[in-house]
Order: sequence, then C-alpha cells, then structure tokens
Amino acid sequence: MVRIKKWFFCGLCLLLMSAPALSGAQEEESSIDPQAETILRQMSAYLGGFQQFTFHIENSVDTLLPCNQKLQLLRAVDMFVKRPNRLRANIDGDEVSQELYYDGKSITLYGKDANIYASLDAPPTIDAAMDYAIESYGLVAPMVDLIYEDSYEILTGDVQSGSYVGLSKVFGVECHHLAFQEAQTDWQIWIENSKTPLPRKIVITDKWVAGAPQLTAFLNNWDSSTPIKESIFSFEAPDTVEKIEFLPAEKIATFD
Amino acid sequence: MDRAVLGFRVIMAFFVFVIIGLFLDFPLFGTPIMVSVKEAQAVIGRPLTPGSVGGVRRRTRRRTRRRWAIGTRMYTLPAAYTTVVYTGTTYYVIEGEYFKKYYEGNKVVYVVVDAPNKTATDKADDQTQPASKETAEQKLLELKDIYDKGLIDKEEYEAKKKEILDSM
Repeated sequence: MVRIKKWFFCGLCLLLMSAPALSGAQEEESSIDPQAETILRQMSAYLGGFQQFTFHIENSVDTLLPCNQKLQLLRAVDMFVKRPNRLRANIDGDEVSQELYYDGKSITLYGKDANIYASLDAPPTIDAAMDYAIESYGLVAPMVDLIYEDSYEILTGDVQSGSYVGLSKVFGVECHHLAFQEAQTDWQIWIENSKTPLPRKIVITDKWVAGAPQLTAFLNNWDSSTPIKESIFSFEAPDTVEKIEFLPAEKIATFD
Repeated sequence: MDRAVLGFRVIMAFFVFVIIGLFLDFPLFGTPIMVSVKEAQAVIGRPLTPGSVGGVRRRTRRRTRRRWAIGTRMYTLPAAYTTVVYTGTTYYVIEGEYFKKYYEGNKVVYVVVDAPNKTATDKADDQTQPASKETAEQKLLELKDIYDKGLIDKEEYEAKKKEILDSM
C-alpha cells in the first residue's frame, strides 16, 4: 500500500513539474470558414470599389470606472471619404466633440469642446496616412478598418479563426452574421445580405481585459453617390483656438 | 524500519521543506519563487515594512525635489490649477509644476514639462554651442561645393577656407 502511494506521489510530482512545458506546446493556426471568407471579401471589394462614400456610425464603448463599475459611452460619427486622399470625420458624443480632417497633406484633429487643434504632416494617400497616424501617433480614425481599400486584409491580419453564424436582422435589414477570434479580441460583423454587401453592425470584445469591455457600432446612411463638397476636407482654424502637439506613440520594443 | 516507509518519509520531508520554502520566500535551488501575499501586506510608506524601505527613501527624495517627474502624463489635472500663457501656449500650474496639453491619439493628456522660461534658456544654451560648429562645417562644405563647380579658383578657395578655419 505504502509502495503504491509512493509511486503515485512521485508520478504526481513529475506531472506537476512538466505541466508548464506541456501547455506551451500548443500551436496556433488561422482558419476562416470559406462562407465567412467569401462574404467578408465581397464586402471588402464593394467598399474598396467606391470612389467616395459617406456613412453614419452610432457606437457605444464600455468604460470601466476605477470602482469596477462598467459604463457605456455613446458616440455618433459622420464619416466622409473621398479616394484617394480626402477624409473627414465629425465625432460627437459623451466627453468628446471632435473633427478629424485629412486633405492629402496633413491630418488635423480639432477638439471643439476643448477649443484646441493639432496637425501633423501625412503621406499622400488615405491608406498610407492612416497607417502613419496609427503607428507614429496612436491616432485612430473611427472605423478605420473599413476605410482601407483592402479592408479584408486589414480586418483578418491577426485572425485565428472565423466562422459563419447565420442570418440576422439589424434594424430590419437582413444580414450575414460573422464571428472572428484573435489572440486579444473577438469581433463580429453583420454584412447586408443583398447586392450591396455593406457592413451594418460591428462588435469588438477585448476579451482578456477585466470586465471584457466591448465596442458596439451600428453603421447606417451609406451613400456613395451624392457628391461631397471639397471644402469640408480642409480645416481652417478659428481665431481663438489653441494649437497643441501630438505626442509620438510610445515605442514598443521589437526583436527584429 | 521498512525501507519503503523510510523512502516515503524522505519524500514527504522534501515536500514539507518545499512548502515551507514557498511561504518563507527564500530561493530554493536558485529558483525565484514569487509570493504575492507579502507584497500585498506591505504598507507603502510605513517604516520597517519589509521591502519598502528603499521605496520610501526614493519617494521622499523625489518629493523634496519635485512633485511630478517630467513627462508624467495625466488625463485629468490632479488639483486646482492656475493657467499661464507663454508665447501662445497655455500652461497649467499646480504647486509650482507646469502641465501642458497634448493629444495622445484622440485623447487630451496633460504632460509635466519644464517651466516655460527655463525651457527657453535651456534651449538657447543647447543651441549656441553646436550651432556655431555646424555652421563652420556647413560653410566649408558649401565652399567646397562652390569650388568644385568651378565658380571660384583655387587661390580664392584656400583663402576663404583659412578664414573659416581661423574663425572657429
């Protein structure tokens, strides 16, 4: 009896010691369901084919207070995009009232509520300018993933798995519901089931952050035909506004 | 005593040793063992709390010099402030420290900076030294460029070069 106990004990001990080694041996691979891939690619091609488009975003962002209470902040955004090098966003919501301008030369963020603005010189196309703003200054335009010409590439860059959930209605519009998993986030997208495969809803979940905060966005009023006035893309500073600077993004150490 | 029983006792003793080691937080065979209980119990700032003495010393030393380190970022200003406008820039002054507004991505952030007039003199000091060196070098390069293009002859080139070098 004692002998059995002893070997059991030793076995248990070995198992415990080897546990970290075993758990580290899992491999990660990306697999996207073909149906989900086709639908997402259709949306990407459709959006990428626009010369210009405008749309409206109603979104909510979860915020955790220091006392661990979760609050939802609401935000409405009007986006105006004209390829290859014009962008404007009007952001209006809780604790924020901003206008973002890109005119092919510079990006300007104007804080209407705080009466401040900051500008930075930017590359000559929307895609390059958005990359630059994100990488160098951490400045992210609303729903920026959808603005890139190849949004499929941008959206699925870090995806580990993607699946087709089924048909669903978003404000009465029938949509394909797709779900994707990444290491840090899960995201879902609802794409219109019609000849105009537009994104109608997006949910992003920060799954490992305490409280798993989510961003939920409804996208509507898509318009790719009404001409957009050129004047809305250039910023003219009001007299009393103060100019400030963007802080460079914190450098992240890389090993290559 | 049975050998099996003895062996079992030896193994048990080893585990007791390991468990005691975990609680006492001493490095067992050089393996660092993290015990979070001790950290959680430490009352920061109270003297003789294990492991925090050094921290207290650093804290007090820093406090006597300045309340917030340069570059500290805050999303809301920590206390009542006054504002000062220097060359078109608004500074928020709290207990003698200057905060300046920046955009961190889409968010407004207040960053602790040097007092504005101090910054101005520092910058002037920084610039005078290397600036003169740079211009001498630039002048020489420019001169060489002019000479290479054939705009001046060798004599003029040498004379001017000497003049620049003498002025350094």
